Amino acid sequence: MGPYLLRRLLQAIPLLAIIAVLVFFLIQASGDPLAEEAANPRFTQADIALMRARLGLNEPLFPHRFITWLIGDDWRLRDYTGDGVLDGYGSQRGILRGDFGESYRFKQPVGDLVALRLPNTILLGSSAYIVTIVFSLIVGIYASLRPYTLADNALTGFSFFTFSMPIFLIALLLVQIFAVGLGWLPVQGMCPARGECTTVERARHMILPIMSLSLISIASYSRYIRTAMLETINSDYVRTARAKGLGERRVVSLHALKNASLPLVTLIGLDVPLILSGAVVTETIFGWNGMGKLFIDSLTFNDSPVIVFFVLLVATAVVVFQLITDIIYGWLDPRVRIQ
Amino acid sequence: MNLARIVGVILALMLTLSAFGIASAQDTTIIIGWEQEPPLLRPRSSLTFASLMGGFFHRDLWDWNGQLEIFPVMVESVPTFENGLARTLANGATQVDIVLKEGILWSDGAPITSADLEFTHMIMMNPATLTAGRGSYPDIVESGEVIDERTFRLTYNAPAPDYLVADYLSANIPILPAHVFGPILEASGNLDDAPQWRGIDYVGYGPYVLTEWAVGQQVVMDKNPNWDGQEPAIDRVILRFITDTAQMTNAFANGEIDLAFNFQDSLVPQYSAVPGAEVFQTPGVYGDAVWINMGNGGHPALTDVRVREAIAHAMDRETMAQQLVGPGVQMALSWFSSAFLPEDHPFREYNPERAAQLLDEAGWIDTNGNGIRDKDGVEMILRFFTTTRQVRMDYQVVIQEQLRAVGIGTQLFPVPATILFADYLERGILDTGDFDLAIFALSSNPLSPYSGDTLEWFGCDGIPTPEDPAGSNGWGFCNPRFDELNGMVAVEVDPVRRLELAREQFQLFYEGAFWHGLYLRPTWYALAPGWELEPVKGVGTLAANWFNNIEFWAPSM
Repeated sequence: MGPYLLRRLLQAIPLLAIIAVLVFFLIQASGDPLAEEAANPRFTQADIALMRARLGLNEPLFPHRFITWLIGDDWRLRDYTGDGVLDGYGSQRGILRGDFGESYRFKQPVGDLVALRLPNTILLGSSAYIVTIVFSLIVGIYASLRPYTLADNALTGFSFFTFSMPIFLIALLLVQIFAVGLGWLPVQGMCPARGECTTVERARHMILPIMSLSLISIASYSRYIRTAMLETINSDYVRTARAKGLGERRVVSLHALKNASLPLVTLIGLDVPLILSGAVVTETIFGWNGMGKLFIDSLTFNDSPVIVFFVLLVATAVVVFQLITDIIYGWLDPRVRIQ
Repeated sequence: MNLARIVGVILALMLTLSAFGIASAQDTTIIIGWEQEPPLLRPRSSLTFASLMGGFFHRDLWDWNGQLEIFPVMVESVPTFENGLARTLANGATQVDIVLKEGILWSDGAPITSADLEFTHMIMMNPATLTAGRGSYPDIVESGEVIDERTFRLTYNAPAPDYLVADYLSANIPILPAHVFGPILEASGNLDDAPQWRGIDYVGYGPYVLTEWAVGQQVVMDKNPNWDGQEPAIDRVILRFITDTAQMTNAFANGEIDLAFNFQDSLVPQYSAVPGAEVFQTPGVYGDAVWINMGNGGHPALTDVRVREAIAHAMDRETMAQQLVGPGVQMALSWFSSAFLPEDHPFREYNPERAAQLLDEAGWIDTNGNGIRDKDGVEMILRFFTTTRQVRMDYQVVIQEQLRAVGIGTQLFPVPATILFADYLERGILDTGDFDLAIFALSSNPLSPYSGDTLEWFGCDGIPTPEDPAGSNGWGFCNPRFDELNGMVAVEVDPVRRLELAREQFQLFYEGAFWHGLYLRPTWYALAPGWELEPVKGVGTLAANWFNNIEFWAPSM
């Protein structure tokens, strides 16, 4: 197991490096982070030149900015005022030394920005995921135990309906029904504008985002579970379990579900890392101050240090969770052995 | 398992939680929907929404009301030649005495003195101390001098007719409290990373103080006990960040916000449909226009002024403004402020026959019968850019139809603003001249016939080149007389003569026929029931002073 994990982790390094470099160059080529200022008459060309110099944008993309991004500029003299005179040593340490730089937009270290938003995203994403898994299991198992009945067909129809809806539409529909129409829940935000942000208030503000995120996922997950359960329930070992006199609940939960959950584990392994990236649409619509909202803001303003960090974070999470998925596979299915 | 039971439990849980959310009755807190959260405060952020935010907790030396009348704020009186606080020196240069009101205090209780003005002046003169826009201030101000505790004297190096409207001390950077920022400057060499720009321990001069900035959520402001102006009737102002347009409307309908503003014209019916809501507009200062690349590598047809005039005549701009923007919206007659245009300033009216005639005269005729005019084998198909703002894209489509009717073809390109406005070295579409037509707005100075940066946008030297990429005249307008007039308007202190010169400049601009105004973008407001409407209607109309009368707002009785 140990060598296997080590090998997989080592394999991930060049992959992440390629992703990082590609993203760096693609983002740098996609626009000017100072376009807003350039179109603002309050800023003279001298002001823009100074800002460009401060951000290091006055240097060529390759090799200067690339090398700075990789290994920093605290070892070389820099021109911070754009006047062609070297003013002093830089302050960046570079991505290879754990410094992802400073956001062009927020003028703060990328790490600080992420530290503020990642917990919000994890709270919302993991809550939505728990809801998704619980309800998928309930719906999937329920449907598989009553195949082709009215209830099964109704659930199938509902699944296809929600799965085919774009998430922004679901979100806005839920808002119209539960917030604007019934007035039960808030339209947006993480806490009420007035008053304290208690746990209950936080929970109220999470309901609609969680419902938006979960509905589509429940629709797809429950279909996988239903199909897997149908296959398992009709297999010989389940029949044997029943013949031995085990109760139906025990047969389903202990014998059938364990084997039927293999496709679910694959899905979770693929989807869980994306929790870290935040739910771009949902966070934006509901004003949830998470990673997805940060990503959209950064894209809008060509804030490349944040975008690169974001992509690397998600890529790393994908690699790690794929590894975890492989391990869980081995536990769930003894036939699978990691070599 | 019983699904009905599960659904019932969920609904019961939602109802239970909803019971906690019943808001208290109307209190003296107003919640304003804020569509864009600035990353930092003015002047570290150049976003309009950062400047607008400052209106609550940091006022300037003087300001303008909705009718663009100037009034004093931090000063005893607005310095003018008439009251003797402004004068012309023997060398022709302007000198201005800024006299602070007596006894005014920063929000932390420290007195505001001429030392604060001197500190701000020092920051304005030295770009290395703070990264921010400074306009032309460092170029035209010779010196600043403390006269006494309340008086600060600014001496310009030339006649400065716009010393009140563009080149004054707090035009770009608010007056900074020296006792707060002085030690930071001393410790770190510049103010770029001061925590105050993130709203931490911010000290200002306004009716409110910034109490809390919950990033991504809201800004909370409470009454400033040291404010010497009108005491606000509202105890607390909350700016709630809602970036999604539909959600802003929903939050207003749901009563989560009391005021929404700056929404698109197409949303007026939705806001108006909210029971009891008052929806009103203030006249705009930003004019969207069709810009033609006449001399910076655009389509060859556009170098002919007759073709550029034909494009104007082919567009039914008045009808488009009424139908795409809204009834009563004003047309933009010139890039320059309408306040200084002559009454008979010409306008190219909608006249497709005249457009066709001009195109014929210019030699652009449809020789191959494909519906598009051509000349010397070149088809008249123009690359037409704009940003992704919906109303601009709507305009693009309608204009495409109208140009097609006179034989001009267009290819539409809506692109992000960061690509359209990027500078020359970043291959920005406008700066590199990689377009034929474009729709966007560029602000001018509504308070003066002179805009300091005019030549950057319209001067012969403003056309960006690989050797000199600094300018922004991507459309290639070049008229030496226009440039000469600009220099004369800049320093002419006689208002009558100045206006004459400016109007000659406006006429040359018009004759260039590369800018065809579409409409002045109005600012829409929607106010929830429970608030006095009239004070709210007195909002400022300049780009950054929309909330400069917040202290007069009040709940309705």
